Amino acid sequence: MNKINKIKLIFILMIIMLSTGCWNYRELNKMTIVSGIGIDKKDDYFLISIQALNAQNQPGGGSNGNQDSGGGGNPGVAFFQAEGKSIFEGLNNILLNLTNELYIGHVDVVIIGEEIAKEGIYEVIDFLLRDRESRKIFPFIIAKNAKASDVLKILTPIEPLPSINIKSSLEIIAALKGTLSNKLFDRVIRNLYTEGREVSISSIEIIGSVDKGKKSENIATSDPETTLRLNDPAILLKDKLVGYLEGEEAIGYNIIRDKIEKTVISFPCDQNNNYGTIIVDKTTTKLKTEIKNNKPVSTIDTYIKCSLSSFSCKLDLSKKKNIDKISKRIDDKIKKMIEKTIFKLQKEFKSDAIGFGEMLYRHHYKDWLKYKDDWNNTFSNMDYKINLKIKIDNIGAITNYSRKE
Amino acid sequence: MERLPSSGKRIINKIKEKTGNAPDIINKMIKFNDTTIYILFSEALTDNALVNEFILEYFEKVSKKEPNEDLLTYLEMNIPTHKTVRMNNYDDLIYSLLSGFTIIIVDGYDEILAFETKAKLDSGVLETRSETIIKGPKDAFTENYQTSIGMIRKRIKDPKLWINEIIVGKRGKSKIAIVYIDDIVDKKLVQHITQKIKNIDIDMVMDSNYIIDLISENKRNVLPNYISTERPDRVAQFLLDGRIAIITEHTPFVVIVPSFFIEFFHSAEDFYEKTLNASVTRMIRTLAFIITILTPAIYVAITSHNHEAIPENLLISFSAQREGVPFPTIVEALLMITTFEILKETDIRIPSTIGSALTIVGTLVLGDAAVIAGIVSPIMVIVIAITAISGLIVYSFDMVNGIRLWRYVFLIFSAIAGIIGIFIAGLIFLINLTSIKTFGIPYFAPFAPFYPELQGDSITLSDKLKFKKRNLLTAKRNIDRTKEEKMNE
Repeated sequence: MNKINKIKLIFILMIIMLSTGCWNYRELNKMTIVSGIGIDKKDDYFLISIQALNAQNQPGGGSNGNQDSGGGGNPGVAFFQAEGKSIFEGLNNILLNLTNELYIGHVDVVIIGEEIAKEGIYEVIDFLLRDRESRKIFPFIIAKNAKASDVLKILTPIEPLPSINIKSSLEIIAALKGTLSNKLFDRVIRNLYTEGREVSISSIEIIGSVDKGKKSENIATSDPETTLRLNDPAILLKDKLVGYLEGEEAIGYNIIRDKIEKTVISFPCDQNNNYGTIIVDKTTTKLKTEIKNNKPVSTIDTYIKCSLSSFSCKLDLSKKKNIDKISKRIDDKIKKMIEKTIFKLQKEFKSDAIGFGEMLYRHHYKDWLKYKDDWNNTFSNMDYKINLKIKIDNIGAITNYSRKE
Repeated sequence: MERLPSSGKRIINKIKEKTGNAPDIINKMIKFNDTTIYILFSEALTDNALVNEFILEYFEKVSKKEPNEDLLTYLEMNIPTHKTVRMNNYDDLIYSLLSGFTIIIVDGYDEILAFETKAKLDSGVLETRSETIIKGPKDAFTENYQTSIGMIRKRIKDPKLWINEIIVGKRGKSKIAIVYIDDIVDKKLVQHITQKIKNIDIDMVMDSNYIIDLISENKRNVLPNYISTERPDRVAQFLLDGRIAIITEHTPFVVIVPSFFIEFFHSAEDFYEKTLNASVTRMIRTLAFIITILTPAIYVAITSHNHEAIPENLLISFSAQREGVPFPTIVEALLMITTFEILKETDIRIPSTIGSALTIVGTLVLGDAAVIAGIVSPIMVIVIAITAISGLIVYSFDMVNGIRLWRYVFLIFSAIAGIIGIFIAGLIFLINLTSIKTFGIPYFAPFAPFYPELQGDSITLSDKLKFKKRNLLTAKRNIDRTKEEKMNE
């Protein structure tokens, strides 16, 4: 009897295995790997675009013995688009164009069009949070002055998969330039639901024309006509886009938020338009918001450790007084950057993307309750103080002026 | 037992009757003074030179002397061979005759003499072939029982190296030796094993595996709970650790009990290396075991269930390679693994002269043609290659085959439920491992139950367990290698 049961069991296991009813069973080549999702609005409909991997054109693709056929000028991705009343419906409608089901577990980038960002992103957030397949750590980006679908159409050189290209350059820019903010979706939602803080999202721009960028000629030349550029944190008020911080404002913004891993700042070192450049190796910023004279006042304590990487003024840097002099100039420069950033946030956007309110909420909750309802107005008229401490760690291998007299 | 009569003629007739007038049994009659002496031996089993030089020639030389004492005793004391046995019944007579002894029957005595004149019918001491090593002794046991015992004895010249000899097999009558070191071993276990071997009721014993299969409590598991080795140095190491070696006549493989799971990943060579290097080697072996049992399963799981567990670039590459393969991954995996197993099995059986043809076909079929034909994906070839290479790192054939079955179990569970399936299979595997006992001792020790003091001889090797201490699970006395306890009995 026991033996018969065992045979039955083996039989059942074999049936389960051979039928495709296995739990969560999906064969790799029976699914389309979505690497990028773009979300736009078209009238009342969502316009969903995807960038799907074209496995046949990947290196090592097509196991027909011709193994070096991958890449070879053919785009590694394909673009599909469909409309829907909701995001998921749109995504589902894309299936009409495809032979395999969609797999968005490995989505590299989700881009939302500027138009939809201006109207509000809660619906997008809802879909992305609710979806159970995707991990929540993909880059989440706003297309600046563009449609998300256009961004996904652009083919990029060097890295043949545009979405991965965006993802990698996001990491590089964040690590070396410090002009981006909230790279990944999980950070965006965390900030979005934090009290006393508005959210900022990285943005991407198309440089050049979309029509040329989507052709494979764009990657077959050494000087691509159309490229993508990540830049400029987009500032949101609630869930609506209000504007972008540009250039040094973005660096200033990240200094305040203590999100600088490494960045480069140029400063004037004398009155004759000569500049020095520092590499910021480490910044530590502490924010504090307190109530003084019945008014909230914030303090920004920043410590910056940097090294000098280029310097074209006539100063002998082996002397301490000269070092102090340029320290002062760097100090001024960074202070100016921060002030400019805060000015823009206060006066132009009226959006507390820094988190002054959050500090109040965390440390002075009772006071926070008083200001809570009208915080962004309070913020735009708020006083703050910057305590900056610069330490020049390294002036390089030469101490003196490098130009021959 | 039937006693012998005192008439030589009658004994000879009886023997002829019992052996069916066997052509290899030679019967020679000699007159010694007035007494008739019958000489009886098997031509096939005895060394003719020995019989001629020491027995027949002896009678030629001294035939005219008149002995003082009785003739049988005289002969027993004077015939120049190294082993003489006096016996008085048919069973012993036939056993000796068929073991290569020369029987001398003197008319008028109801006892006979048996002189050992055994021919060497084995291959002689050769290098080990199944457990090759680079450093250390290279000799291997032979099919000759005495040689095998001798090879252990010459390594451990200790009077406490004791041997229980049992004859097993109604027809085969093979000698089985239970070898142990008396003041280290667990004596109860020796008694237990001796008793069990004595109780074996079997026709013949061809290999040590017969014995172990009959006495082991571990019949339903594919993992072996005994080490079967042909290296005398390894047996000596284990004996000094309090193990029991079972030597079987006619086979070079000696069985060591009790043995633990982790010991299948050890080699005699570990002790001839620097301990630190040996530790690394052992870790690599353990890693290879994990790789060989899990790789195909993990590959199947991540390509057909848990896509989110792979880094994206790898997923793209997997996906690209899977393109155009007509079968589900699991079928592909089973196909390749089974092909490899067939190839391995053929390779063992095939004469080495045809071996190269097999290699070529195997390489082409497994490596290249299957991929080009689009039956399997290139990555699957890599997966199977890693699995196969890692699977052969264990020298024990029993363990290799045991692992093979578990590999299939893991594979099928992963095909059903992905990574969760692998965990379920892993759980079953662990339950199985921990429930096995090797002669009363937990098989999965020293991990479960956990013995911190024995960790030095498991995945790693420490000097302490190499030189100072014995394995306390098997050694019952004299656990400290450097000191000798006084026996208080």
